Amino acid sequence: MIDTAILKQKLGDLDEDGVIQALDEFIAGNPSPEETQLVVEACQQGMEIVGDNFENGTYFVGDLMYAAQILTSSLETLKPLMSAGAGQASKGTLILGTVAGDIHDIGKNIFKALSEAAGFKVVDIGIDQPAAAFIEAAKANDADLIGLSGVLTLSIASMKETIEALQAAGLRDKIKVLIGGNAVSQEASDFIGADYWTKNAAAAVKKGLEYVS
Amino acid sequence: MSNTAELFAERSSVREDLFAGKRPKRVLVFPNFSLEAACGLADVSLLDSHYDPALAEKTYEKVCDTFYSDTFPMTNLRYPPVYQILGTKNWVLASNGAVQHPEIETMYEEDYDEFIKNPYDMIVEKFLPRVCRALDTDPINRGIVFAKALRSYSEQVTTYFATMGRISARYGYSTGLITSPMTEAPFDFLADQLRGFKAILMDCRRIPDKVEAAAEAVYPLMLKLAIPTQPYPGMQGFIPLHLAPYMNPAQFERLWWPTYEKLVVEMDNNNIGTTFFAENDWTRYLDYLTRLPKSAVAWVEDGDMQKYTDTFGKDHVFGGFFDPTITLSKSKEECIDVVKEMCDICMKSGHFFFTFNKSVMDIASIDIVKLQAVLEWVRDKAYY
Repeated sequence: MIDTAILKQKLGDLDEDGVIQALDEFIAGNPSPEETQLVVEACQQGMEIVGDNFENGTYFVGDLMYAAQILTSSLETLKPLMSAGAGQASKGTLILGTVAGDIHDIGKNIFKALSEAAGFKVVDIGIDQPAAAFIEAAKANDADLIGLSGVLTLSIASMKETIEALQAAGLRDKIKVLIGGNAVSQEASDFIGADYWTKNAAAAVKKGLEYVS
Repeated sequence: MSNTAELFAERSSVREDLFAGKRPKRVLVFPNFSLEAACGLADVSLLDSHYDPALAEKTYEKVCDTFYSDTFPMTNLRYPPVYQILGTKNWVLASNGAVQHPEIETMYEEDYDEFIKNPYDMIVEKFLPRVCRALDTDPINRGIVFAKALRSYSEQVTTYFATMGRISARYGYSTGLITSPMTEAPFDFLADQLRGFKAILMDCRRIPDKVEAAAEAVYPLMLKLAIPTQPYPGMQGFIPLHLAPYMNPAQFERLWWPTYEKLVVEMDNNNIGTTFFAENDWTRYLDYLTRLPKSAVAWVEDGDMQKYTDTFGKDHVFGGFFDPTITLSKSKEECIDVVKEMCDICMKSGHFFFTFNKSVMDIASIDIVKLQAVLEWVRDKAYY
């Protein structure tokens, strides 16, 4: 059996080759679904180290994206070894998208990867999405959180429209709305009426966990 | 002397002093609005405006009539008809008609070696047909498409600059911060137009030697882009900076910085200054930026303005920081307090100009009356 503490640290250290080698050796031992689940959790815990290093300024966005790539590949590798229905219970459901008029998706995708690693079920509705698409997805998936992403300043108006539409649909009180991206600021958040704003994807994941706990 | 001529003379004097390294009598006011924002303000259809350059005059004049500026207050770098003719994947229209740059991968990982050997041929022969659907055809039709696109580009650019010239003359605007062609930092060109944001950051980890060689290989093309075919006095090129704030310090020092520094120095050697837009927060790289020739001018999105003043601003011109979207949530007095505090810090350098932290792209993202008050405060109060 693999040493999960070492695997966790290898992912935290962004040691891609080390993670691949450890997983190859693990798979060669014909592990059970239960053992595989422990390894999946170790990888996810490795992402927590990455998130902490990002927050304390040791890692940067490129490092975060690299970590997310290692994690995604690892989970793909482990997927066939897990039993159907196995896995941790979802921490909550997050509807995520880039708002109308903005087609940027890099920040959204980083937040998505970190949120999935933290145990959220993420429904990614894509880029340039109108308010109605967020509402439809929130209703269909019984959402706990909505993440609105935007890089351009024109997304401020779209975010405000989306939150107003949530209000009109009677969903606003049930769902926390997090906004993120280069366009947002405290002042923009005050205008938009979000629950939380950030340019830091790792911080947004922590806030999301707080909201659903 | 007419009022316009007096305005032009006074503004030009401020601008010339600033660029000559002298303390001007007051802070130069350089707000910046995109075509999207200008259309919103003038109540002109953005899509119509993309395809009918004649609408620009009315649209731009509305901005000039509404907001105080010492220089022509708009930038238009994107030309959708050209993109449509070429079938570009790297420049697309969003649902609201705004031109945007999506994440693309034009160059694949396996292309590195050939690209390093001959970047120009690879761009022309392999990458352009990949990123422009209409060029992915036989050579004869490719030539026709390219000729149509070039013709359209020339018409658009000519119309835009002629309009800008007429309006500048009418309003007595001084020369702006950018007067010669745009280029890119070699690493950013690799990222933005060839490998994509995500792929290049993965490459930095997995194949840094190839990334380093590719940035060196493309450097001569970036320099060539920056040098006008007919040189003229006062050339000031534009370089929007992108990837560095997302990289770790070791990657930046090895892969991003060297070819950028070389580019700026060589432009300076050719009598071309650079106005660079420092997207995101570059505070941690101020030691590097401060090494650039004095002709390098910083337009700063975000960062520690005190540190900019104490380091880069000692010998270089800089401006930015002011987020116009604060006008949506703060009172007029609070907005003026923000700009006053900024001027109190940055004017100590003697090299500060006023601009927004980025172009206003949507007129709904600002409060017009409060922003007018901010610009007029800088014009009337920010005297040395």
